[in-house]
Order: sequence, then structure tokens, then C-alpha cells
Amino acid sequence: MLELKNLSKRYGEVRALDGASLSVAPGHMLGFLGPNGAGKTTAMRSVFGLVQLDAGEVTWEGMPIGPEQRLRFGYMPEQRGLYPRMKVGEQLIYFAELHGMSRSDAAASTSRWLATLGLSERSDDRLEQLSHGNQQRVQLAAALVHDPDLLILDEPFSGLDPVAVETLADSLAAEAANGKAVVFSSHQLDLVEDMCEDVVIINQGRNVMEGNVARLKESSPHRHLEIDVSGGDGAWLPEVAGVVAKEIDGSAVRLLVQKEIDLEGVLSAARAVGPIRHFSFEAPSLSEMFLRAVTQ
Amino acid sequence: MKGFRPIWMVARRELRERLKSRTYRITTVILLLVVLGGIVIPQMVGDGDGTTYDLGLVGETSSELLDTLQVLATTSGVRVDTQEFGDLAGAETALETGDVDAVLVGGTEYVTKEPGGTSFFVTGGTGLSALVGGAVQAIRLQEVAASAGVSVDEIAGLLTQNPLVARSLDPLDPNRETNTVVSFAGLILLYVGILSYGAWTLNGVIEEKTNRVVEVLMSALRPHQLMAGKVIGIGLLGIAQLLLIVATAVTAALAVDLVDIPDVSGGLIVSLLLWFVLGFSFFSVAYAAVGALVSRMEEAQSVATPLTMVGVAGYLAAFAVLENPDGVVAKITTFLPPTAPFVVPIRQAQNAITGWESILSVTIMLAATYGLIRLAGRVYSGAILSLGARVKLREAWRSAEL
Repeated sequence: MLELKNLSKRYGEVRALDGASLSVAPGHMLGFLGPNGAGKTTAMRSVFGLVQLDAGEVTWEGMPIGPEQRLRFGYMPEQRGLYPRMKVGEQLIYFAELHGMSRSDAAASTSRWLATLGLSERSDDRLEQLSHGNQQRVQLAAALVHDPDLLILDEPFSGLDPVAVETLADSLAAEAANGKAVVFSSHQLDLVEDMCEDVVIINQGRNVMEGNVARLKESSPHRHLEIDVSGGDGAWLPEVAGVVAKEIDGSAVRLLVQKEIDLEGVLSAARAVGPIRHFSFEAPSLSEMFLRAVTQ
Repeated sequence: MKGFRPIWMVARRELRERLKSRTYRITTVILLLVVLGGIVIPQMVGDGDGTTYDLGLVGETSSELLDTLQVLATTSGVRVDTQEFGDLAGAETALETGDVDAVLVGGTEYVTKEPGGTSFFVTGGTGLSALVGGAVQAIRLQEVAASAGVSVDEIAGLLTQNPLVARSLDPLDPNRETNTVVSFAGLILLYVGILSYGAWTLNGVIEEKTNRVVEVLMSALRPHQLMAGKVIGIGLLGIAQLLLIVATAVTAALAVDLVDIPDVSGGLIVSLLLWFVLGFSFFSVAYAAVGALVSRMEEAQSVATPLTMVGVAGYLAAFAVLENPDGVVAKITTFLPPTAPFVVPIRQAQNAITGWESILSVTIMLAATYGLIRLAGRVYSGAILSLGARVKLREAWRSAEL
């Protein structure tokens, strides 16, 4: 279990972290969200002792984190970087060994990860000979190659094409399923919604929303209501309490409503006009909740 | 994983990657060619010190005379090649064309191109006439002595004995000359080594910041481990390159008979190696620390210059000490870490340093290097992750993770 509690860090006048907290248990994947400059990178760096915190606690299994524990962690920093002239395979073996693996284990793990990421035949190429996307895969492999218990990935999906995103997302899901704790930051909120059970959203160094994605959505006071009635033009819509916003597009009516709206009343009014072609009543997306949370 | 393993892995990566790099191979080959060329080419072009004379022989020449001539030539450090001619005319033609330098006829007549012939009044010297004349005289002296009942050995004994016992008010270490030469060569190697391999360390540190690989490294290594590994790896590579060059130079010099194996005290060699390691470590650690302060190669020069100046100062101090190994400058610079590696071997070679001075100097050096490693490690921690503008030394010190 990784726990970050009440982290605080100032850079001169700028408060990078102002009480942010998060925790993630083995077998879970946490989406760590926030606008640019919210303090995500600073918080992630603090796990590796790369930031001298002004206050707060960073613990793994209840203990403060030291160099020995960090060898069991994998890190993909926001600032990507490996040795451009070093061969891909040798590079990964080196990083695995630095984390305490024996040479033979390191070599075995390296070829396993290169195979998983579809890079087996690039093992003897220098890193600089690979495309940007493939370099990114190697960077991910460098975070995974020593079989860490905890993965901290800062924007692992940025700059990847949809195919690479898919490969990467699958690998991370498999890691979490294998009992690893995974934390990653991302601006691709739809992806986070698909991948993570839990999220933490921070803004200006503070937590503004956190918890299980499904429950967060459920607890939202709003719903999207969409009804498409054959032959309707929207005029059928009765005056009901709780409509926050309304949009009429031909025969379709899209509403943002309070969760407690009189759904039966609306439905029967629609049925009176003609057959219903489409009906949906959904909680807002993570992306909407994110926007609301960080603009409040 | 404790202690030395991560340091060694960093060092091993430096060794492997640099050994594989084309730059390292090419510079090594070029250095070797320069050193070899500098030694071998002068030997092939001119006669250099090893002067060779060609002597033409006509008629009977006794083998005793020829043997004596060769002995005299060897002791004078020259070579005499002889060439027999069937008749005088052929020999004189060879003399005219310069194929031979002189012709000895029947062991009694000495023919040269010199106007008016050669004067044999001047004895000694290493000219061909002096050698031939000396050989003939020696043979005649032996003949006369033998007929007077004095044995050849007695005569030879008299001629080779020191006529007087020599004593000086300033007794000389028999190895002092060669020691000075060797320590001087060591001084130049140390200077070149510190500056060039120090630059490797500096560039290596900046490169990792530019590549941004340093953040991944820092998640697994402590700053002092990364720094120590880098310094050790580059140091080993540098020492290997230097030893290769020195070994090649010595082998080449021996092969072309430029020098004999120098008669150097073993203590001096040990001291040179020790001070090489001490000096190299001290300066490399400092280069690593200043390298951490910048993020771009273009800024490397500006941070390295002060350090390079310190190295140059140490080198120049050693020259002052060479002139006056017992002076005040010598005494002070012996105990200053940046100058001691250059100065102490020079003083040692001249027997101008006492035992306690050596011990104290090494102790100070070790303490200073340890202190510098701690200090540089802290600067490194504080500055290594900043990728923007140049970090001020004071900021790096303050923001260091302790």
C-alpha cells in the first residue's frame, strides 16, 4: 500500500503541493488527475525522494520510503529519457540490474518485456534508431523490467498513437491484475474512466475529488437525459422541475437535469407524441466531473 | 543491494559504452600513432645520437685491431661499419662518392678527403680518426709492453682504472637523474590525464542531464553512487589508456635502442601511481560536481574553466618546485590538495621531501578528497535534477536531499 499524506511543497512563492494525498493498494490502478501545474509530477517525484517535501508523509506498507524500498518501485518520469546511443536490450538489462536483479534474471525479464511490447527484433538497435512511439515503449519497459511492486507513471500515454495506447493500457491492466499497485497521471480522461476503478483529482496542490469512479459518478447531482421521439420537435417537453440545461436538435431532446427529476412524467409526455426511438439517462462522464471539480 | 554493487554497475556501464564508442577507439589509436611516430621516425630519418661511420679497409688488417676498434666505438656510443676493398683505387672511389668516411690501408695508412690529411695529435673524442688512431695506439702499446715483459692484462688494468677517487660536497643519489626524468614524464601524464579525463567526467554528467535519463537513474541510485561510479569507470578507462600509451612508448623506445630500461627507484613508481590515483580522483569528483550545475553542453566550458585553471596552477607550481625542491613554494604546495599531486612526486624524485612530509601530504589529500566527495555529492543531489538554467552553487547546496 502506497500512501501520500498531506504533502506540501513550496517553490518560492509557488505552492506546488498544498495538502495533497493519495493511496493505492496492491492490485489496484489509480488515475491521478489534475490540470497542468496542479502538482501531480511533484507528488510522484516525492515517492522517489526526488523532492524535498516541506511537510507530509510518504509511506509504503506503513513505513517511510528509503533507497531499499525504491528498488522495488518502477518509475516513468514526465521527462522521458534514456541513453540514446545504448542498445535497447543492454539498456533494459542495465536498469534491471541497477534495481538489484541478477544479470541472468535481468536478461530474461528484458526479453520477456521486449516481446510483450512487440520490440523483440529491436533489441540490438540503439535507442535513437527507434521511432518516438517505440522509444516510449522502451521507457515503459525500463519502469517494468525489474518486476516492481509499485508503478508510478507520469503521463504514460502522452504522444502515443491509438494502437500503442491500447498495448500500453493492456500491459498496465495485466500488471495490476498481477497484484501490483499502479498510479498513473493522464489527461486522457476517457481512457482513465475505462481503465481505473479509482481516481484522485488535484488542483493547485489540493485534492478536489477522489474515490471510486462509479460511485463518484453515481453521487453526482446531475444526469444526462436524452430522448428522441418520432415526429416530435421538442415542444412536447412538459414543464418539470430540475432541468438545468436544455438543447433541442430536430426530434432529439438533450437535457442536463437533477438526479431526482420526475422521469416518469417526462417519459409519458414523450410517449404521448409518438414512438420513442432513443432514450438514455446517464451520469456525467469523468471528464465533465473533472472540469467541474477544477473550475469550482 | 548494498554498498559497492550499484557503484560498480555504473562504472561498468561507463567502461563498456565508452570502450565501444568510436571516439574512444579513434583517439586511442591516434594517440598511439603519435607516440610511436614521435619515437620511431626520428630514429629512421637521421642517425640521431647513434652515429655510424663507414671505414674502408685495404690490404691486411689484424683482427686484434678491428676488435679493439669495435670496443672503443661501443664505449663511445658510436657504430663503425667496415667494408673491405680489393684494391686501393676502388676504396678511393668509394671515399670520393662518400660511401665510406675514411680508408685504412694495411693497418698503417689513414686516407680521408680532409684537406692536408688528418691530425692524430688530438687524443680522445669520438671521431672516426680518434677511434682508429686510438685502436692502433692501443695495439702498439700492448706489443711494446709485451716485449718489455709487462702483461697485457696489467696494461689494460692501468688504462681502465679510475686514476683518482672522486668525492663531492653534494652527494648524489645514483638514481636522481633518471628519477627526475621519470617523475617529470609522470607529471605531464598526470596533467594531461586530469584535464582530458576530467572533461570526460564533466561531459558524461551533463550528457545524462541533457538526455534526461538522470531522473530514472535517481529513482534507483543515490547521487553519490552515480557520481562515484562515473568517476571510477572513467578513471579506470583513462588509466588503461595512459598505461597502454606508456607501455607502447617504452617498448618502442627500447626496440629502437633509444633508451635502456631506466634505473628508477621502485618507490618513485609506486608514488607516481599513488599520486596519479589521488590527483585524478580529487579533480574528477570536482568536475562531476560542477557538471551537475549545468544542463547544456555549451555551458560546460564556463563551469569547468575555474577548475582547469587550478589544475594548470598545480602543474606550473611543479615547475617552480623542480627548480627549487626545498623552497618555501615547495613546502606550501606539498600540503595543498590541488597542487600536491604534481609537486610531491617531483620532490620525491629529488630526495627533497622528508618521510613525515609525504605521510602528512597523503593524509591531507585523502581527507580533502573524502570531504570533496561528500560536498560534491550534496551539490550533485541538489543540482542534478534541475534541467533549466544553470544552478548556482549555493542553491544546489541548499536544495540537496539529505
